[in-house]
Amino acid sequence: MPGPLPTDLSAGELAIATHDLSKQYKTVAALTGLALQVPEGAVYLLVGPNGAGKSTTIKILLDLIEPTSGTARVLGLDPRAQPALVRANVGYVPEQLDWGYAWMRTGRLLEHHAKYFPSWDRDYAARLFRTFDLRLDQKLGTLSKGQGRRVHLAMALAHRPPVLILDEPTDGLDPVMRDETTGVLIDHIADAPTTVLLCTHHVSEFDQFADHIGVLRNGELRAQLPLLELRRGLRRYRADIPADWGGASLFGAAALRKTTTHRDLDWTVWGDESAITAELAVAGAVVRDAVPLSLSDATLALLSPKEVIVRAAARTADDTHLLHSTEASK
Amino acid sequence: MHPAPRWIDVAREQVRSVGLHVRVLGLLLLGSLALYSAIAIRVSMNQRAAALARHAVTGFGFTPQASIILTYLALLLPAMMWHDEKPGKRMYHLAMPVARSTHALTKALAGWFWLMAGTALFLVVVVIVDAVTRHIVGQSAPVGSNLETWEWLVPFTAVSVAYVFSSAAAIGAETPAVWVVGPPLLYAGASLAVALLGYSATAQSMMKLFSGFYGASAAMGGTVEGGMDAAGRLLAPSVGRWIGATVLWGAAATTLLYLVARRRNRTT
Repeated sequence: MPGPLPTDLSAGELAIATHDLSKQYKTVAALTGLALQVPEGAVYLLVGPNGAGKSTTIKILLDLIEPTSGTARVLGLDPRAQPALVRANVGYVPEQLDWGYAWMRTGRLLEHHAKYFPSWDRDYAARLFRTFDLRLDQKLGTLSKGQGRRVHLAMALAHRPPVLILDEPTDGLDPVMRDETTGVLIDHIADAPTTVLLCTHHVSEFDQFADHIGVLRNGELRAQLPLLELRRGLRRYRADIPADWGGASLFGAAALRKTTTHRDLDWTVWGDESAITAELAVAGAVVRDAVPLSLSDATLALLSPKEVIVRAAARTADDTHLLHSTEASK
Repeated sequence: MHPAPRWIDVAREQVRSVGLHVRVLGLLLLGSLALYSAIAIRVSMNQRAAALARHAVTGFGFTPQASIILTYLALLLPAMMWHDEKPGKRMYHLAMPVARSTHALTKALAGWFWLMAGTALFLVVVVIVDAVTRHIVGQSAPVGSNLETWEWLVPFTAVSVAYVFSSAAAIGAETPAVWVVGPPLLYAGASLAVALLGYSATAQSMMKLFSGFYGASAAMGGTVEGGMDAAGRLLAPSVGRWIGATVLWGAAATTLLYLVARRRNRTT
């Protein structure tokens, strides 16, 4: 049987850590017992559907909202006790661009922002503005969503913070600028050791440089692990099965809807490859291949609305049918 | 680890950015003062030309109550400063590396700095125009000779109290209308209530809030509306009343502002 998805990264030094963090909005539980662990120097992708609790987590880390219970630490600091110091060490791009400075021009905003961050790198800020194709004389109230996002990104990076918290940093950007943005982030991380906590729906854009992933669903952390481990442990198994195959309930899953003489089985399973292959073999299936998933596919599998880590499909020559699976990992 | 900014740097920057933000209001004040000066000098010159100098009284003079114009300005200023940063749209302000309440209070302080500068400018212009018009009509009495020294401070304290109350509303309220029309509506409502209640004890108590010994009138100019002494004479402005009322109203406004600034934003 495959083991449960890992959620513990506490072995090394952590730049961001929460312990049993919960947030309740009246009757809605936005977070439940969250134990987020972002290792120092990691590029950590926090993924989850809308309303999973990603932005709530970020706002608690920056002391913008108060948790109902539990604790949070950023660089070892308690955001509730030292909010100013935490925010001085974080470059933050919010999901909602609520400026409140619609009258101000971008050049003036940069000057304003610089005064709040003693470590502000003026030359770097100017370079970022050029890279992001931004003008200094534009009023903030007239910026498009994409332009606003780029201004925020430039401001988040230009004081070279040890921690970057980016909430949908490429939302609203065109494909060229998305590519430019990921390039800027890669260069930035290469230049200075930075821990990045990145919330996004566009995971494929960060495939090339993210190294950890956390999957949040309904306010609970479903998985948290290095991407290398995810690629190794989460695989798609394709196997030939005999007509009278009795392994439909393998991994605690499955009710086969349709039977035919020729079958092709497709499972997405978390666990040790050799053990799973052996189990399938014992059940009579012949594994043809076991391929690691792309980050997008892995994320999709982990975010499946069903309580599954095993996704199975029975494909026949003329039809496709899903195998309904239930929680296999528990 | 990067340090948080020094408070003085944040305060300087807030003074600068608030100054830029409200410069339209400043230009409006400058324009009004220029217009006032031009009219005052023109009228005085006409008086002299018509050989009526002997009957021209005191130039354009100054009384503490003249600062009521500035009080309106003080009520308007926070609305302008915080209009784009209503509680639900204050993410940028809140995400800066300064404690939430300190940041809000620092911005309010920056607005107060400009308000005091505007008040000082107003008084300087009024005094200069007064002196010039007296000179034109041939009067020799020194400017402000009819005033006690403390009365020169009344405009500063009066607008400060109004500004702090208005800032509390601007920082705490989600809808701009609350702080733009709120105070006048409150006053109108109270007046209506008093009118309806007639001369009952409740009505008298409510009126004391505005024109009582330590009421708003006393804070605005040390006066008591319709106040009379035991001999039935109108009460003159009193430094004791002014200090007492200013301390009371100032403390109430400052406490309210502090509580509002401390309140956590419920943005999700």
